[in-house]
This record gives sequence, C-alpha cells and structure tokens, in this order.
Amino acid sequence: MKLSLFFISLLLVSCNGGGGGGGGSSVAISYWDISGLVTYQFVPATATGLDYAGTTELPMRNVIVQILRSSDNVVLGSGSTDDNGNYLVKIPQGSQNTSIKVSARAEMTSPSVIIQDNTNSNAKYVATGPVNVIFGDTVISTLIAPSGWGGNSYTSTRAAAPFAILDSIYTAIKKVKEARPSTVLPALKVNWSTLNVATSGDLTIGQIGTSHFNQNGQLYILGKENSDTDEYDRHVIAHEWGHYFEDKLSRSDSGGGQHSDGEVVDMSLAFGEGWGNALSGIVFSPDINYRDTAGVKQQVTAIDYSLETSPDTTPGWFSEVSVQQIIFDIFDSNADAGDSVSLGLGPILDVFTGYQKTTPAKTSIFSFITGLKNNNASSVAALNTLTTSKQISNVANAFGTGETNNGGLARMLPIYNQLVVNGGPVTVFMGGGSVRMNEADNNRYFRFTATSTSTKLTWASSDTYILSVSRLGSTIYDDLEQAPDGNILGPYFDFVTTTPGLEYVLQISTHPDFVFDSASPVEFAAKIE
Amino acid sequence: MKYIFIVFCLMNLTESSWGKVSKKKTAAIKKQNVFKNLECKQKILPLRIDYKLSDRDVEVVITGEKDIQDFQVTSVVGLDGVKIIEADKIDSQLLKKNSKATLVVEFDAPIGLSYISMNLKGTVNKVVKNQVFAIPVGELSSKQKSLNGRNIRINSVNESKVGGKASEEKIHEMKLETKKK
Repeated sequence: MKLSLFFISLLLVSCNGGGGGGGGSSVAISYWDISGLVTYQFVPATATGLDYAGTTELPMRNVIVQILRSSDNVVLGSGSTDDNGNYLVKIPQGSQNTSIKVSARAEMTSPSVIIQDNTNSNAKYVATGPVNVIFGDTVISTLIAPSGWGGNSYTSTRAAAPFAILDSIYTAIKKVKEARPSTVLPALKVNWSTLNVATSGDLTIGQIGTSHFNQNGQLYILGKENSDTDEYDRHVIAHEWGHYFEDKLSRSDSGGGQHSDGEVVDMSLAFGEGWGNALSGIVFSPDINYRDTAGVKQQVTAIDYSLETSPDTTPGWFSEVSVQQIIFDIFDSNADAGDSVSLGLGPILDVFTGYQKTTPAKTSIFSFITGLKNNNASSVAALNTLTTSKQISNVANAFGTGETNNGGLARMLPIYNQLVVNGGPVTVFMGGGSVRMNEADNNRYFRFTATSTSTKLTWASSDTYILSVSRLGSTIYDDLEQAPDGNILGPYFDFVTTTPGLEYVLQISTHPDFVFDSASPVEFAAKIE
Repeated sequence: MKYIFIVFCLMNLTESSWGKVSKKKTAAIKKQNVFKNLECKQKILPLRIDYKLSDRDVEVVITGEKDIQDFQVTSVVGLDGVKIIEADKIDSQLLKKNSKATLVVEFDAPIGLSYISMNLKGTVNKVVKNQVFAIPVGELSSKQKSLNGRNIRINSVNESKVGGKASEEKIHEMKLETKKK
C-alpha cells in the first residue's frame, strides 16, 4: 500500500482538497490521500480439478475500498479500485492520529453487485487489513486476500473466494459494456458461503442444491470444501450471470428445473441454458472450456468440455448444446463446419434486449434467430446454414413454423398448434410419466389471436395437466389439476381477458410424478370461442 | 388406454358432443406463472437420488433416468466431522434407465449438522461426467451457529447526508495481513 502523507506540521506542502490558505508559507490541509493495491488469489480450474499450485494473484477490480477507524469501524473515506486493483481514498485531516485499517468490500457500485453470506443474515463480505502509517516516508504494501489453502485443505479464511466470484462477474459486465456501452444492469446480489452445499433445503444454512439463479433474482454459489465449490469455476459463474442477464434485461420463459446436456428439453429451457453456456465462453474467450470442479480437495472436474465443439448427441431446437454452439458460433470469428457467421456479441445482445422481450412466442432458439435475422438481413443465408447444421430447419418465424425435427417423436410437432376462435378443438399428446416435466415431450404449445376482450377457453385432459395462457411471457391465466382417478378432467371452460388483435400462447404441461396413468401419453384438447 | 380412447373420441366429435362442460371451479392461480421457476439446476448425470437416513447409516437408492455407462460411486466422504465407517461400493456398471443402484453407508456423526458427500461418475452419450451430492445428517447446533457467526459484525452506517437516517449493515469480516514488499 502506498500511503501518501500530506500532513506535515508547519512545514506544509500543497495537497489535495485544502482548506484555503494561499500566498503564505502555511496551508491548512483538510485530508490525506491514501492509495494502495488490493489483490486476491485465484486458483485456476483445470481438467483435473482446482490447481492450487498454479494459484495466481489477480487485482480486485472495481471493488469498494474503505479506510476505517480501527476502534469503531467508522468509515473515514471510500473509493473504488481501478482495473489494476489500485485505489485512492481521501481521509479527513486528523485521522492519521488514530489507528486506521483498510477494507476491501466484495462489492461494486457501478453496476451494483454485492457478494453476501446467505448463511449469516446476508452479511456482506469485507476483507480488512492494517495500514502502516509512517510519517515522512512512503509505505509500499499490498493487501492480498488469500485462498486459504494450506496444502492439504483450507486452513485459513477463504477470503479470496468472494472476490473471485465478483471478478468473474465483472469480466462479464465489461464484455457486455464493451459491446453495448449503454447497457444498464440492475443490482445483483450473489450468495456464497463455505457452507453452501449440494443438497436442497434451507438456503439460510447453505443447502442450495447447486449453483443457481433463483426466482428472487439472486445467484447462489456452492462453497462446501471436499464436496463442491464453484468460486473459482468462472464459467459456472458466468453461466449463472447469464440467467440474471436474460431475466433482467431480456425475457426468459424457461421453467427451469434439472437439466443436462444431451437431453430433449423444453425449448425455453434449452435456450436459457444454452445461452448461459455460450455466454461463459464469450466472456472468457479464448478460454472456452467449461469446467466445473468438485470432489475431495476439489480435485475432480465434474464437467469439462469445449463450448464450441463438445458432442451434441441430440441436436435440434430442444438441445441446450445446439443453442450454446449456435450462439457461440454467431459470436466467434472461427469459420468452422456450418459456421460462416461472425457477428460478435453486440448483435446478440441487441436481440436479447429487443426482440426477445417483445416476441409473442415463447423465448427459444426460434425467437432468437428470428430477431437476429430481422436485424441482420445480410446474414440470413449464413444463419440458415448454421441452424441447419444443428438440425434446426430454416427458422421462418418465432413460432418455429415449418420445423421438421421432431426429436424422434411425431407428437412433438408442430411446435405450436394454432387455435382459431370458433374453430373447434385441437388435440395434443404429451409423454406423461415417461419423461420429466421440463423435457420437451411433456410440454405442448398453442397460439391464438384474440378477437374480443374476453376469450372463452374450453379444455379437457386425460390426466394431470398444468395450463397457462400468457402474453409476452406474462401469465394472464393458469390452472392445474391432478387426476385422482382415470376419469377425464373436464371439459371445463373459463374466460380469459384478452385484447383483440393480440397474439397469445397457451402452454400445456404435465408432471410425471402426478399423472394417474404413467404408462400412457396424456391427451389434451382445447378450443377457443 | 381406455381413458385416452374416451378423450380421443370426445375431442373428435362435434362440439355438441363434448358433454357437460363445466365452468372451472378450482381456483386458478391468477397472476402467478406456475411455470416460472428460473432456478438453474445443472444436472450433470441423468439420475435420481433417494435416501433413507437413520442414526448410524443411510441407504441411498440411485435411479437412472437415462442409460449411464460405467456408472460408479467414486468417493463417499464425511464432512463436518462425520466419520464413514463403511460404505458399499458401486463399481463400474451399466445403470439402465429406470433401474436402481443401492448402497448403504455406515457412519458416525457428531452433534449438529454435518454431511455425507458422494461423488458419482458415469458416461452418458460417450461423455464422462461426475456429479456430487450431499446428504445432511443432524440439525444445526447452537455451537455451530455461534461459530458460523464469529466473524460477523454490525456496522453503523450514518446516512444523514443522504437520507437523514442512520442504519446498520452486517459485515462478514475477513481479517487479512498486510504484506509488505
């Protein structure tokens, strides 16, 4: 820490601020400038877990630094670090006569991001260290937040962890701001604790299940030693931040839930997860290996694959890997198989903050590519080639009209079934007990254009169903019913408040744990009047 | 299948044949998106884990949701003082969809909340994957709560310049040494 002292009794020098004087030999000085450097230890994720031997020292970028009076923690001055971890803080004249300390908060203000301890009443993480004051001299010292690794286990405070998480998020923010400087990012709170463990339960004691973005708009990150820690898995952090971005600045119609690559999942889920993965590669490019470490001594890499070339065993609109690779290919400048598009991040963000928010369809690869085509007419042919390489038909519109890839099940097409006012019932089938609720085969979509202010919806189902009518991602009507026996549920009717001329989506799902007849598909029919 | 047939017939008849159509009586969950659950649950291996816990052991049942090649439990470790006395081994095997693998873990747990952490490994679509899950044992003790909160302090924040009210903020303080160069 470099401590510049401008308070010298009687023999005064010019300095910052100042309280007047002038002309004479004496100047009253109102504050000191204290400058220094704050860093943290970063442990890289490798193919064989966290590499503690490869630990590096990185600057705490854009974090809040405060100078505190040690006796009572009164803040004497504050500022933010630059991209090299340097800071300059002014403290009032006279403060030098007391013991002071420097604190680096795992927090940034522009935009607001706070790393907090969800297992301790959401206390903010703050690293503090002493300031060595030497009059008439310069003290150079560095405040380092250590990883806490003792060679065989964590043996001291894992002070680096919150700053590693914050720094990964800062990298993502910078990437977005470089591409679109006017982007305004809402406040974000990130919950991390050494107690955050891979079991679901009480968030306040660390039972967070896994690292995730939750419905309250906050991130939760794993931290349990010898089980699963994610603070240094920067692609995981960026992935979760991608969910925040999609939720806050764009629109996500994903129902979430458990998922894995290689699965045939609901198109909105596939899109959201693929986007998160792609963004992590975009943010840390050229490091495009997504790594998630875990295990005893953090020496297992649970997942390790290239975000551009990993196997896509079930390509299509329902594959998060397909979505991930399509978005990354649109970003990158590598011209590989099927990929001659190199639009960069800006046009991708434009779709997220534009068309994705206003599409009458559910958010999916169809809506995204449609928005991208709308904004980039010269790239339409190349985008068709790219999506075709992932077995997605040339995207005609946000509703995926004309899609021919049914994922191996004829009942999965069309993507949307058209309902017409007074046009009679339309029937669909779902997988029922054979697949999870968030898999594509347990979700079906209808679309309709309202002709009046009240649309009468009539429906019936052979088994448990969950029904939702939405407009631009906002639910305006929903209903669910569990089948108590093998009898038909319905027919029922109800009225939905609509606006003539506007388009709506009716989504039907079923849950395998609650269907009465798990061996049979669920049949559902609907009509509107 | 009978019911499917009935519905099929029902829906393919003319509108007048729908039978008695009732106004939906169950309270619809208005203004709440039942689909909206943004939690990202990266599930690395397609399996389901159930367990039955007693004082000294836990029986873990792992059900494949897809075929998993070379499925194995590579480690069972106790966290927060749990001692693993004995754990069944699950060596490399094919865990087929809807089939189950069961193991029993005997342990000795201290007072308070602790965990048994397991690492699972398998190959899906020719890709090797690992997955960790933890089983909670016991409940958080007052001693653990006290230890967990030992670095927490409350800062008084004087906001008189901006809002005229003083407030407090909780800080998780991590005390560092200043490294001189």
